[in-house]
Amino acid sequence: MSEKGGKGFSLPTGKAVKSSLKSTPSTKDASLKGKDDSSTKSKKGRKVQFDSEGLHEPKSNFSSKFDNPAAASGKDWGKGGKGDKVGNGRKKEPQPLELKIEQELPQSAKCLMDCEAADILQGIQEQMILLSKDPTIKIPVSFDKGLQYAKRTSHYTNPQSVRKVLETLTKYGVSDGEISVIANVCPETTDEVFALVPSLKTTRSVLSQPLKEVLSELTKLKQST
Amino acid sequence: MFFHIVLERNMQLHPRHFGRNLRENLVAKLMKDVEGTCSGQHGFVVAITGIENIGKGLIRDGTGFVSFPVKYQCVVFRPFKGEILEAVVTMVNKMGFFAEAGPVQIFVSNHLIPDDMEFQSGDMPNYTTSDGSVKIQKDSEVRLKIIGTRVDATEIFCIGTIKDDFLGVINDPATA
Amino acid sequence: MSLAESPVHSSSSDDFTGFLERALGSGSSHSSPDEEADYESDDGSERSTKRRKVENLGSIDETQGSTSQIFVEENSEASPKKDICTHPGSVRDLCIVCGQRVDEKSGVPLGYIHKDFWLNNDEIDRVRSTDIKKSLHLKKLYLVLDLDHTLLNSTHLNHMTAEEEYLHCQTDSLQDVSDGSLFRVDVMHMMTKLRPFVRTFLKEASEMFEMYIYTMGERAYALEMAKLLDPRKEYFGDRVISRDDGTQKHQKGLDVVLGHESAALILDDTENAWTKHKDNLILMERYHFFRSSCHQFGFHCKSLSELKSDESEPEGALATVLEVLKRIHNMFFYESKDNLIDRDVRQVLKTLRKEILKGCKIVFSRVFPSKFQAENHQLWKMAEQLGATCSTELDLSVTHVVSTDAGTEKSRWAVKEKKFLVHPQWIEASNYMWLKQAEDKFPVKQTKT
Repeated sequence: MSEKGGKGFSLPTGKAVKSSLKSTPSTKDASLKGKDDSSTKSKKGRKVQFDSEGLHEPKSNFSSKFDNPAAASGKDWGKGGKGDKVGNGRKKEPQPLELKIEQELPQSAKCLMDCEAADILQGIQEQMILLSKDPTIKIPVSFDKGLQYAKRTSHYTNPQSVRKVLETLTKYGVSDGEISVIANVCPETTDEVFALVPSLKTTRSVLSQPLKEVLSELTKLKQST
Repeated sequence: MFFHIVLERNMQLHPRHFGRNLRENLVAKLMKDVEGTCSGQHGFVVAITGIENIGKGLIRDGTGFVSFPVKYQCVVFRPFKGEILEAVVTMVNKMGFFAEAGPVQIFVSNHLIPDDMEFQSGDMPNYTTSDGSVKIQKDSEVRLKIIGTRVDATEIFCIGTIKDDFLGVINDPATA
Repeated sequence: MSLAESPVHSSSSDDFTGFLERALGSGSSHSSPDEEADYESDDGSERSTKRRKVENLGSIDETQGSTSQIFVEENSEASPKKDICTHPGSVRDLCIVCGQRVDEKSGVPLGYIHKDFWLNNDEIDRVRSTDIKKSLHLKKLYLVLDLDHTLLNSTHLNHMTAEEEYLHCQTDSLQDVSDGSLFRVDVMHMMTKLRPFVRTFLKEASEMFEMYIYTMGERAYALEMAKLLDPRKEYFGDRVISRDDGTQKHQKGLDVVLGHESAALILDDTENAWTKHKDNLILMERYHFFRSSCHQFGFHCKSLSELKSDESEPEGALATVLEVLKRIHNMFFYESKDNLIDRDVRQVLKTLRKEILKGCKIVFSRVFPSKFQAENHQLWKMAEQLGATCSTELDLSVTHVVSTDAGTEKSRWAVKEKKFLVHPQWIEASNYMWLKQAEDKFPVKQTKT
């Protein structure tokens, strides 16, 4: 069984990799702060918010490419079950199929980068603080946890700039979801990107150079800790 | 991954809640009903961010309740197989470790921890490389890949792996 | 806003699927020339997994049979060279190795680790055999500890007597429990008294053992008690087993303990809870502090609480048993010539126990009902386990006559022949104390007839 455990994963998972991971600047300590004060906020404030103008809508800087069928069909999706697929038999490949059955799934869904989600959620939280009248109403745990998570995993302070930089990749067929994953993991090298987002490997030859440039742009946007 | 999504729900409201505050009442009820819930389709509803549209109310025969179709925008969190997440370790034992990414719980079995990391028992159980340079213990932050998910009404549970390139500890609380 | 502008049903679901497909990617760089076909054949299992998941939100799945078939076909087709995942365990119905949905659980539930945590038998064996090597290397064995009457005594607040009222003023703070011994646990409506010496006991035992709590109480209670005993979670971790986690009603079993039986010891006051593991058990004298506890076991004398007294700290049961544990640990690791991995703590326990009444030859008189098969009586067996030989016949090799009545023929013979005449409690006390007790402390009275 143990040898099964090791099978199918591409190696090396060496220390070099891990230590490079370790050295990835992490910004969580700072970003974690401030979550505590959320538990006593009223939900009331948010009603006002809905009625008034102010939704923290990500607006148009969210591209909605997945409304475009061409984007979806452009790539190979057959890779799921090939004999040589990585980790076959245990690591089932992409699940999006799961969604296929769910015809009722709203098609308006947009991927958010964690830093964008953090912005939106924090905006709501701040509104709540401002408008809070009833301190007895508690914010749901899932909101707190979601916010905390988004803040912890946000590596950038300026989501708009990040999206701008990453969106240059869309002309190479990189999808919204892939863009979010790249933003969320905050990779240092193109190798890291291709390892963590293996769907990009198929266009590696054309993507490598622009990706390299994007990563160096992103490095400049990283939060300073 | 977080999503911004438009969902629709039929809200039943008693006429006593009508009047100037009808909209507010509907929204309040909506928040109570859907925040923190999850479904296989869209995952955890983390927060409602706006009301897109409230349709015309329909009187339900015989009950006096009126049903309003409400379209609302919300932020949802849904982990996918193949997705990379950063999670905080909550419990370590000889079978592996549990971790949390937002509202989602994840288990990483020792089968899916690199072979060079060994379990160390004791008052602070951990997985450590033989040279001691990398350690996973409670409160460590790890980057992992989701390989399985299960969604219930109030909980999402995942199976993850760190046995792959560029996965593993990103922040060691012992040295932080 | 953009969301409002995009009509909800403008694009087909396939687009979204496709998007996510690419977004989340596959682990492979392989690109297929015949994408659609692959897609269809490879992911039958995925779809049915999902279908089941959807159904599970409402009801239990019905597609299980056909699904497992699909799994097999799919896997063998897609990857003839690789074995199918054996699903060694699952959490919340997800295989811990492949992440797939598994609906048939087999093996042992380990609910104390996580809700719906299961390991199959092979995996448990694997975990145990990996773990025991490490444990033995670290000179550690496993120790399973009962809570009530072994490590502590609890009473429902409503069951406290007027004479116990004073205790309410003496409870220790729940803020920092590490030094206290008497606690009011309001969430459980209980008052709990830790057995004297328990802190030292746990500290020292933790150096020799990986420790588990195993109680017949419910989980919430077990966790509260664990907080009192181990506030820093240094001794037990997630190894707190309650009756919710057992595999058999009214029984405790080592099957849910991830330590090898040959290296596990149990401390419990209830022998019957461990019918399958008597050889691992060190029976504890019950700790009754509260009145309700005494009552429950039929003692109608004053309780320790009412007497404002307590078990001795240096000479109480936990201090005694700690010494026994140390001896066993020492014998196991330092006095055996067997290969480490072949050693069996049950054997050590047995050997050590046999030292206690070694050299004693016992005859019983008016201890068992007359028609009772003497060799089957618990005291007879206990005496033998303690190393004594038992007989029904008097002869000069007899050293002790155990009797409830000094007037019997055998009792009088003992006095005449200057043999020890002792009460049956002498055996029980020796058993609990792990030491042959002074005979003169257990005199036999003459019952008047």
